[in-house]
Amino acid sequence: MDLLSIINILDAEAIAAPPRPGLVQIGSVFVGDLMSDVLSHAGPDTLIVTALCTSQLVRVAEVVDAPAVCFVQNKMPQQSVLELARSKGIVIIVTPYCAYQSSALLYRAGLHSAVRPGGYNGGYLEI
Amino acid sequence: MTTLTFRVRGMDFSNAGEVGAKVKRILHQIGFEREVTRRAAVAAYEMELNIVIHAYEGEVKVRIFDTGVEIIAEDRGPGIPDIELAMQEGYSTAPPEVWKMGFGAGMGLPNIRKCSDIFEISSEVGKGTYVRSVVLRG
Repeated sequence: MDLLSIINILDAEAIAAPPRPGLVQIGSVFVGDLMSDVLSHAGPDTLIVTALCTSQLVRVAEVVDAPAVCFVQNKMPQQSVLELARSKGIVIIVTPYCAYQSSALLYRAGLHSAVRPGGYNGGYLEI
Repeated sequence: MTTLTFRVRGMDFSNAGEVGAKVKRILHQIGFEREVTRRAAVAAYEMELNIVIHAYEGEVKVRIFDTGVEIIAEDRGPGIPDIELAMQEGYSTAPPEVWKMGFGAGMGLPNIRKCSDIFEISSEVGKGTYVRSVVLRG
């Protein structure tokens, strides 16, 4: 699913974004605030949904090649976090919804969880 | 072979994460496969953060071969009294002040082991900890 569709689904605002967000493709979603969990599960097609608006989150996204981060509940990061994200080419969007609501909306839209039993290369756990 | 050495200071969160990011960028630039790059970068990141969170200071050394990557972290710090316990997913001795930054999940060492084809750890209480990870190509 392209990022522009996700922005619409989440009523989100792109606050650090490429000129054409429709070209960024998202195939899975990770929801959480722990860096090691992001490192365990997120990958090159993952949207990271989090309440933690820190530069560390952006650095972790870079390490796992995650193309986009969504901050929930209209949490706005500091300017330095946005500048870091822009310098790394990572998209930042902000949604008014909480993590639970965001998860529900993205799941209903057909996106998988990035959490795979057995690690990053394992299969999805279907519900 | 290329060797990179990074000095890491305890509780220096302003620069934390740069080692993993640099390892990723360099391996990507020289054409390493994406999954190998990812595993090496995650291992390097977790080793760096272990020093930042738990030690006074340390060093992460990365050696890049045609066949893979070796990452060694050595620190001066309190050491690990029970390595078997520290390797359990979810076990953490990280101080509460780092939790709000998203650390202290008790997944650092298990993550390094998962990413590694060869993994070694040794520690001496009151002196420090040594961790070695090798990520192989192909």
